[in-house]
Amino acid sequence: MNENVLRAKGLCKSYGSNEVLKDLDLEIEPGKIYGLIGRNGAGKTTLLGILTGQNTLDAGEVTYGGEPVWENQKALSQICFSRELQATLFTGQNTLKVKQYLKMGKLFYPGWDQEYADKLMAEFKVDPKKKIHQLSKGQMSMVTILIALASRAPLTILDEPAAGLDVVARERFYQLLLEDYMETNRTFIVSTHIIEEAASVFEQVIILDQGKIVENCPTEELISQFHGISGREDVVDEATRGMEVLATQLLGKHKLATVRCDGTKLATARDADVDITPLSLQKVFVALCGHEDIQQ
Amino acid sequence: MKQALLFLWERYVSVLLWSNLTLGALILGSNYLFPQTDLFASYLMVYPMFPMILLLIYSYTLTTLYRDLALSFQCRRTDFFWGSQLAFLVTGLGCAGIMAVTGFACEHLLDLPALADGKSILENGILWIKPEAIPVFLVMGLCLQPMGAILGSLYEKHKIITTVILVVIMILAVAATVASLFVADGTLSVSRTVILGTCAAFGGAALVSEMVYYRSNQKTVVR
Repeated sequence: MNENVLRAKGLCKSYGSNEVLKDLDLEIEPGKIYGLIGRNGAGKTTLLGILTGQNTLDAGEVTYGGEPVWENQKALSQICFSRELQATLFTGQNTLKVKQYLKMGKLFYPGWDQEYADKLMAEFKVDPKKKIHQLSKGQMSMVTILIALASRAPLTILDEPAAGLDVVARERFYQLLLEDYMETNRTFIVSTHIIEEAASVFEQVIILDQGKIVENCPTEELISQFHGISGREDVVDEATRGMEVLATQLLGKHKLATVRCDGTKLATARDADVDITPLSLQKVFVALCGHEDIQQ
Repeated sequence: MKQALLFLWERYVSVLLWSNLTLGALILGSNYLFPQTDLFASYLMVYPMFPMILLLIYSYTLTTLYRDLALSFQCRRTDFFWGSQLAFLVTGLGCAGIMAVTGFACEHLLDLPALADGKSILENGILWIKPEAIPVFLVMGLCLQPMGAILGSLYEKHKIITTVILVVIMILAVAATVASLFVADGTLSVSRTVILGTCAAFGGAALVSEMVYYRSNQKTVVR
């Protein structure tokens, strides 16, 4: 079944000598909310740009519903990539008005829902006559979210949508996202750095690190594989033998090890005199992508 | 394709035509309001430069601003390229048309404004209000637009070089206007061959520009 599956195969992308994506494979199934997380410079925006045909690739292929995305009107019209708005453009301040952005959404997205856009405009209290450079960062994020949601595109991608929002607005955004998802069952990919808050929304999580996908699996399944094991140093060392130890921290004779293991090995560790705690998605992410930064 | 055309009409063509129409109206209107004012007579003298510079600047913003915007809304690059070709044609013809109307109005409908030396426009023989000059400006306009589009693409990577090239083009436009004044009053004679050669050079430059513009369009990255 190729219908509405976004598939990337062997993606390579470099900017000069900087290799951003390295032979990357990815499959996005329809009807799920994906979270795309990665450190700064991991290649998230580049990847999203390539998936949506907005960025060029050096090698590889991206298909949607079995057809290439690049320059394919049928595929492109099914995808909305709502980017972070910028107050400054090449030519100076971004003097385009909010209503002009919405008009473009209406023009380019065949499923554009004007009624919903109007409703969100009223809720977000964004003045459509205001120019983009006159908006606060939070309001710009709201416009980005509004365009993404009102596009009703079967595959909707948001790049850092919650970046400028306060905590109340972020909560409302996740709520709106879930409401829309329940109603339309379309596919969302949300790239974010605010991992902890968004974790409960992501059905599946994609972790991008140094140009490669290190994880792409259901959030719960991923989290269940990671644990923190703490106790006396020698006991922890014994308990974690044979496990994949991702990070360790020493506090005197007390040791905390972040491990990845299956249930059987964990059951063995439970017999030892150690504390075993589950990890949050954020901790899992740090364990996988923190590298030498958190190792001691 | 339809979406690209509608986008370009709204964001590019209509703005450019309106600014040219306003300019034309100002110049013609000034003739009635201030018939003896040198300022507006001088304005008319340099008039051809303005539509040409506007064409250059607007096609420059086409790639520095509008292309990024259209592609971020999932417009096809090929659609944007062909849509902009139509936009170039419409705006090029529009500008030449406005110049033709201005020339016609100056010659047949209006009291001719006096120039600084006290002679009327026709006595001074302003070249560009004569019908034979219109095709030259049309070719020039059609050439300048893809050149502007390329400069817009270049600006993403080389801001200083692009700015220098833009300034040089504007200086050349002023020089061309001054030269045409000398041609008009007979100080400088230009043969038909030179005019045809100039048109051919502009046409060739337009073709090369189009090829470079197409290539830059395919390789551009939305930021």
